[in-house]
Amino acid sequence: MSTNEKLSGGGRTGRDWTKHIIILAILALELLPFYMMMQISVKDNAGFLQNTWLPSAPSTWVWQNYVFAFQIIFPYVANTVVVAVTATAVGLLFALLGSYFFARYQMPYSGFFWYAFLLLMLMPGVANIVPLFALLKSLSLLNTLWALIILGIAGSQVFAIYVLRNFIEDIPKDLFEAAEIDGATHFQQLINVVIPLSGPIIGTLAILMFLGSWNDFLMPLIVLRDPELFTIGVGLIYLDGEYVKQWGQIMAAFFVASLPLIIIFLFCMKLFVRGLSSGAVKG
Amino acid sequence: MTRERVLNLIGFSLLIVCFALSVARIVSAKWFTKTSSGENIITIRLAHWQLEAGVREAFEAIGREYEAKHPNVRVRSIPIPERIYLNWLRTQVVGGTAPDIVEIGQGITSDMLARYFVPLGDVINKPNPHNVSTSLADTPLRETFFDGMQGGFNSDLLEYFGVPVSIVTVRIFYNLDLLKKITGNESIPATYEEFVALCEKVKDYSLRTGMPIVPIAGSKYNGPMLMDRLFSSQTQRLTADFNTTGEGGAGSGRIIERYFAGKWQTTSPEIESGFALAREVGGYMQPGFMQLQRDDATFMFLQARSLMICTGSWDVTSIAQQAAFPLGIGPIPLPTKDHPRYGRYVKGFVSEAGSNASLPFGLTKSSKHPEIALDFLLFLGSKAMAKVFTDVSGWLPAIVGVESSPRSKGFALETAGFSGGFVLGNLGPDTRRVLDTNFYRLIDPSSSSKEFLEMLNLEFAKTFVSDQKRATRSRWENIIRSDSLLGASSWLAGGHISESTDSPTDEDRFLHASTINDRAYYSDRLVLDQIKKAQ
Amino acid sequence: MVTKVYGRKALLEWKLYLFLIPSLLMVGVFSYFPTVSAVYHSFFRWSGGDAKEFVGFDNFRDVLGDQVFWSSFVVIAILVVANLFKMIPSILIAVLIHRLKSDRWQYWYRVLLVVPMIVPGLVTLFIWKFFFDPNFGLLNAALDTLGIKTLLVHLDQLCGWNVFHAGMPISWLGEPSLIVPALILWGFPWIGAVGVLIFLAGLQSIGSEIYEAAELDGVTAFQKFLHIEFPLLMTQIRLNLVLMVIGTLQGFGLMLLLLGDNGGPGGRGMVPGLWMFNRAFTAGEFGYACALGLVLFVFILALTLINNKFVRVDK
Repeated sequence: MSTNEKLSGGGRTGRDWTKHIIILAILALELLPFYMMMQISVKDNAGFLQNTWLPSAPSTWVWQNYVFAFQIIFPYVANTVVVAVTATAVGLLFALLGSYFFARYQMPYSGFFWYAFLLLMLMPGVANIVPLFALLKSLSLLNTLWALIILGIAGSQVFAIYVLRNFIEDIPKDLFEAAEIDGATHFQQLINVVIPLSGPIIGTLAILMFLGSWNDFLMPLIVLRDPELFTIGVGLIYLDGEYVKQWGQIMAAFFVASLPLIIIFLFCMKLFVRGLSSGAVKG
Repeated sequence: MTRERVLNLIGFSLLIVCFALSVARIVSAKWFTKTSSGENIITIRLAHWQLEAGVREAFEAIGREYEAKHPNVRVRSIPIPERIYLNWLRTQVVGGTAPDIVEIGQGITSDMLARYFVPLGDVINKPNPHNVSTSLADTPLRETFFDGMQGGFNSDLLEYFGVPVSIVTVRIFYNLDLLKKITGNESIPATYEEFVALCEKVKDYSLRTGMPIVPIAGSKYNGPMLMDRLFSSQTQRLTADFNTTGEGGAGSGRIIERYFAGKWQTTSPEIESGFALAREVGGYMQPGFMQLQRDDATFMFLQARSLMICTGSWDVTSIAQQAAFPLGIGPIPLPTKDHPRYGRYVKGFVSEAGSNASLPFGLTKSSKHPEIALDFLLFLGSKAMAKVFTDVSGWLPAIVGVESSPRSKGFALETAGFSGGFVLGNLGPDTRRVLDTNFYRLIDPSSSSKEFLEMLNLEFAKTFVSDQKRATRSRWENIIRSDSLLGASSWLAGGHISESTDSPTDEDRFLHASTINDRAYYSDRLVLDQIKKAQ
Repeated sequence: MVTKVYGRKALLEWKLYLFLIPSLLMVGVFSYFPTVSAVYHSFFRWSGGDAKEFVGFDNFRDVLGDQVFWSSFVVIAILVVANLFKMIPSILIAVLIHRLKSDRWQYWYRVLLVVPMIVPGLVTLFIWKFFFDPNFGLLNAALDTLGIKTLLVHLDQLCGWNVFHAGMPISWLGEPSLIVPALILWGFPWIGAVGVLIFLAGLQSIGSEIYEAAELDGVTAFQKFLHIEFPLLMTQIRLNLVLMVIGTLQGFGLMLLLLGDNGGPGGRGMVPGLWMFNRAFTAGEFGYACALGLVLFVFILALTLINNKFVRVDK
């Protein structure tokens, strides 16, 4: 992008202030849950009732809420990290391999496979839950984290392959051919040509897949029995099922549950924002 | 390297570190499967939905006691929120991963029991081995329970499946501080008349001081609890009239049959009076209470915005822990026979003698160590552990001769009295649904007209039939499931209808039924026949 | 583009097929097989274990007569329409950000947009559930402070809804008639970060000359939107539309967590997906649930095909 290219449209003159105000108002509302979570997490129920909207003074902050939250949520976070990272890493690997197959050459029957994949994109997952459960049972995968990892991998393939295929197809053929001439196998071509160029898109896909695993609660709810194995999704549901809710503690727990994401986001912020807006995800 | 790349790298490596730590955690948990002496550690899991204060801790305490006696066993209790209990359990039993011991309830059907739970069989007739050094050393297990272990009995399958652990009763909780402020003393009403007087005093007080205090906190959960009991005081005489077996009560089949025999309608005076009574008490609850949940009413009571709340002994520890005021416990205030308006249909105080023990725990077929699980189950139902249970949780114990915790004083069973009347909601799920949908209109003074009750009459006529049909069908299925062996052997033994009858009627079959379930099934069919005749 | 390959070259490149295998295996076993199994089991009475009883089309006949199922379609139809309207704020904000002159501000707004994403969806859901709480909830507190509550109470007395009472907290999830409005209200102000960023990406392709020409013609801001931005956003909007409809039709996680497996009081929050979950995991009728799922799938497929045929974009 040249430095002169404008990203923005709009007229030269114009009342930008109104735009700013509207955007800020909407964004403030959007961020409201986040703000509420933060400020309630350091109050107890009594304090919250007295002072609902505004943050309380730092001297009155109830840190026990966070102690409680860590004790409860930390195991769940650990489990979810394992599931999410493994599912994302392996899923990306499989998707890269698969999309390379489709994008590099159009092999015989690749059309057939491609439509098979596309059809899956349309298929609603809702009808699958029951037989999936039965399948996991026959594979003795119930009540394990492996089940969640495998489901995470399988579920993300279609979207990832779709996106990656488009991307790889756009890579100039000469790069591949040059590598081939140098005697690289397909696998080496994948590593040396595709991966360096697809940094942002892999990053974006990784984040989306990670988020997907992180937010999943339905399958963990059905599959897991032991509290030691619970992921965040299930853990939060159980927390919500308590009869007497100490909202401060619960909000603190929510925050702790978001913590890893917040940390990742802080570091990889630019990557994500750029990846999505560079049109990597085309219609 | 650009700043961005450095940041990305840091983020990425943090992630890897987290990942490594988490994996290490999981793997290490799996390694500790052997005790110091080299035996394999066996884990027994116990699932329940009692998230109320004190109960979880009680089960944990019992678990620890067992572990102390058996070093190679680990007891883990898994509390599941009520709302997802049935879903969760169903996936577990179908998947074969159910915990060893599971609390029976929250909609577990006889069907599920038959398929996935182990019937206790002969164990109930022998003394509990864990009662050895107590006064119950020679008493058969079944008789060590208050209710003769009825709470663990399933009448469809004619088997004992559960070991109950507590007895629950419903009472009215009072905020004693507030009570003193309003009336000047701490006397708790025992009858409906006194209750109403108190409610009126509360309303006066609220008007006078301008503080928004409601006499009794209501919700979708707490409201019907009180209203059903008051309703049943109005159908008391009626139900006693229907009763033909001398048990004091009447089954839903009998009540439905009496309806079609014309002995009662929705417009009958008893029913109208019941609704009126429910309406009157609903008027003392906060407006729109039927939309609120259990926690909302509890919250209101704890915030001293209501003087009373109707709930059960299962809430005593939770409420006592959170209340900033002393708690008073009082009985459900029923109208006496002398009440000018409601007294005429009342027979007398309602006895709780027929109450079944609650919190039954059963053994699942997916248990990997059934003998040890059964042993723990018996341990759970032993006298010593009942004491631990009541001390830690504050709930009533289910075992005879165990002194209950002082916290549960006031909840003890009141056994003197008569049996209560029937309640519409217990006649079947379809009937209940119609009742639920129309409940708010029933208790709203402005909309309960004669026509409305007539309309309800017609609706109920339909739902009674569908509920009875459903009950009959499910009884048939239970027969097939459990009685077939019994029926076949008694058939072989000659207890069948003689071939001389060309087409035996339901009445014939009823009279010649070879098993209890058969008899009940044909009795149900007779009810359906009556209904058809009456229509 | 992709070079077609056949014959000897294909044989030489046979190793490429290996690349496809892991993906195909995963998807085949864990996505295709369950679907086939679902179709198979929908003809049985099955409670999830090994025992099953063939009942032919009985399940489907029951589905046709299933009141709860078909009335749940009404609910979901309402939600789809509501979600349609909920796409508007995303488009609006994308356009507004796009029209800003300062690049720096654009960037920071993009960042701020992404911030809500770091709170996991489940947490947002529970925070909203907390907002709906009658006693602690912020929605009621906000309505009280803004005076909207009194307005609602007056309207109630006028129209006889019998829903809003003075002095009584509004139970958004407890009052049957309020459930659907609560589901629609959820997520206010309805901005999806991913959506907005995608729209922004699409808008970037608009050159500034077009805007200058429009300025010269004296076109108003709204007309600018109609004629310049909207047509170019159509591809994204169309894609979003398809995904949204499919997602909403299947979705039930929100309802499950907010209302429980019965769709809340009066069952007003019952949607097809939730009913399927209920039949399978509450009532244990797995075969029937498969039949329900199949019918839902056919429905969605039909809608998608119609969508593809009729919602065309002319370049």
